[in-house]
Amino acid sequence: MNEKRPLLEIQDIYTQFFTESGVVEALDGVSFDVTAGEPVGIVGESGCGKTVTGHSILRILPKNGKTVKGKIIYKGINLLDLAHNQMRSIRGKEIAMIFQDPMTSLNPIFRVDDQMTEVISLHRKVNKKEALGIAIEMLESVGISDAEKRIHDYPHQFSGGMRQRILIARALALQPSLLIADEPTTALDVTIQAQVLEIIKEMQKKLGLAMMLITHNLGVVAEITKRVHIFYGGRVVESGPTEDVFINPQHPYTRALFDSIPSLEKDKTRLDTIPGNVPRLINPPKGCRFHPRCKYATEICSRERPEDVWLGPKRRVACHHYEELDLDVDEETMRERVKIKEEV
Amino acid sequence: MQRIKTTRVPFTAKLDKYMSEHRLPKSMIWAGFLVICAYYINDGFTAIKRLFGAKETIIIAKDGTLRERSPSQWSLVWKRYSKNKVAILSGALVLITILIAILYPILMPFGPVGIEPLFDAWNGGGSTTRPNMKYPAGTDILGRDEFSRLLAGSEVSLTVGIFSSILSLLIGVTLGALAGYYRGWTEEVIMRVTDMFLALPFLVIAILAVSFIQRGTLDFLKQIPQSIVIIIVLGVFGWAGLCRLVAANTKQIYNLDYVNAARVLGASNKRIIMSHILPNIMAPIIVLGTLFIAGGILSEAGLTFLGLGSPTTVSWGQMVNEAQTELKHNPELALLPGFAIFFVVLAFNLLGDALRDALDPRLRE
Repeated sequence: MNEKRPLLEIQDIYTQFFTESGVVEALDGVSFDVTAGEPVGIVGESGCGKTVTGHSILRILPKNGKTVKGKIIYKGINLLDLAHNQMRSIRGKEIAMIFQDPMTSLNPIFRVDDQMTEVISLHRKVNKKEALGIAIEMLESVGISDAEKRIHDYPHQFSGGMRQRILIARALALQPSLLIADEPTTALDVTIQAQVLEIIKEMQKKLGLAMMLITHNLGVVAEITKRVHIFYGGRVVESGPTEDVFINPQHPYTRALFDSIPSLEKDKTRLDTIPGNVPRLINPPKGCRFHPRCKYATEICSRERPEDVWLGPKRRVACHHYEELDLDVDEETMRERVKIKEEV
Repeated sequence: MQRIKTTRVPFTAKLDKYMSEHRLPKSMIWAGFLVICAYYINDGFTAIKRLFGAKETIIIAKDGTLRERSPSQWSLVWKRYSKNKVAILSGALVLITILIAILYPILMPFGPVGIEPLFDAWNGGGSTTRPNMKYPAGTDILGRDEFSRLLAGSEVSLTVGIFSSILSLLIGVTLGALAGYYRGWTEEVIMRVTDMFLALPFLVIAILAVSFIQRGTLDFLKQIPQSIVIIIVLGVFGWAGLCRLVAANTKQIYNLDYVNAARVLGASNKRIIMSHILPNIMAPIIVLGTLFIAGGILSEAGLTFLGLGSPTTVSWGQMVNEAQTELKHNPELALLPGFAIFFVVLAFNLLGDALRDALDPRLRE
């Protein structure tokens, strides 16, 4: 095989939460992969399983959650088979994660130096001074001026943007191969968002790390990622190169998503929205999970689960009717697609 | 009639007695004393300040600039604590009590069990005498010096209070943290046991346990000193409330992002509990621990008052118990140890309150 094996392969995972009111099928057969050094976007509404995917990979689901089926293969190892202490050596060192809210992700009672050196000394045999040196270096590289002095401050002495930078620096201190960024800019001011995104982008390029950017902000995805996976109701409904998905969305949900972005050019008084609500995953709709809200839905949609249709080596969509929606696509591309489909 | 002369025992002789009783090498005590003296004379107040982490208030960066280092948590706590007058007062009272409990063999004018004053009727001694110059609190029914007994009684009270509190903390914090962190059946089992312990009638159990150990049929149990028996009984039966508190607090912290973040960084469960959860719930634990000391002192006094103490140990509860027959003529024999209990317990309670205020993170500047 010429092509390198992807860094992370997620193969058909099912993650469920066992609650008092029933089993929540948070992830229902999710598959995708992340190549080394590649920034990938995970996009979807709230409660569609984006974050649960991140937590499933690192196996930090709450007590009542479990990945019941599937494989998460990282560098050839199935993470779901690892023992707890083996998993611990993966976390932080191989796969790092940044959380949404920088205000609560740092322990309020310890100085930043303690929290930065903690992760370094957990995985590497270094003395305190060396660890501090690495920590200061990392802080400087994420653009904290005066890092040498400020590292001895408490988290509450930093602003939200600064804290998110600290968290990025901490996550990248051991130069992991994969960074899972769970809505890293959602809790920040718009002006700070741009700065933090810039830093994430820069660090990603500099360290050549693969990244899973979990977000509901399509602008952020367009800015940073090369490939995107659109989630809906615990399933990947569409995925492909970011540009392709943005220019030529195939799934009705993706289309509706792009239509609901407010535009300055179009002369409109009302925002386009997707009717209905995100499905409750305790008793999800049968068949295609989007069918109750889909304007193209037919009888088959409520009966059968749509299979992934491969439109290209890295382009796929899960819809029964995607071909019928292809109104904007010219004949030639259409023919090409049919060809690829037959090959696959 | 021959007058038996009782003079004040010389200081060195008292010290010798203390050393032989407590089996401490004399030289070590002196060396420690000298070191402490030198330390405090040398640095004066800065030594105290250093104790509370205000040491490196200014740090020098590599480029030569000076910058104020942010104060440590403990120095902030100390700052808030020292502003509170009640806190200072109760803290001082507690410190004095602790000092007395350590140094009473040197401080007290007579032995706590010796009946020499009984034969010293000419100088204000005898049985149940009023307070006078030589015997500042009078003598008790057996002719022992009440003042010496008051000082000596602090040892048992504090030992029982502090160690039973530590025992309760060890059990309660461990079980509470485990229950709150691991949830599931671990929590279920621990919390049901906790409920069981909360439902036990403490006084009845304590009386039964103490009398079984001391007067039961098992001889080897009788070897255990009485105060240790009370410490164990108080510690083993007193942790339930603390366990609930710690479990609830642990659960609350468990859901916070920084615990998840620590897990993502590869920290083990033990590390997360020890260095991320417990330090964050230290404030209520310290406060409750202080209140437990007060409770322990009260319980010890109560149990010995009810007659579970041995007549050979000097304790305030025992003193009140023995003074019952003399209430009509010598009420001070019961009142003085009663007040001693009252003030020490009050001091610990106020200390707990003051610590609660000082440690409250919501008041953080």
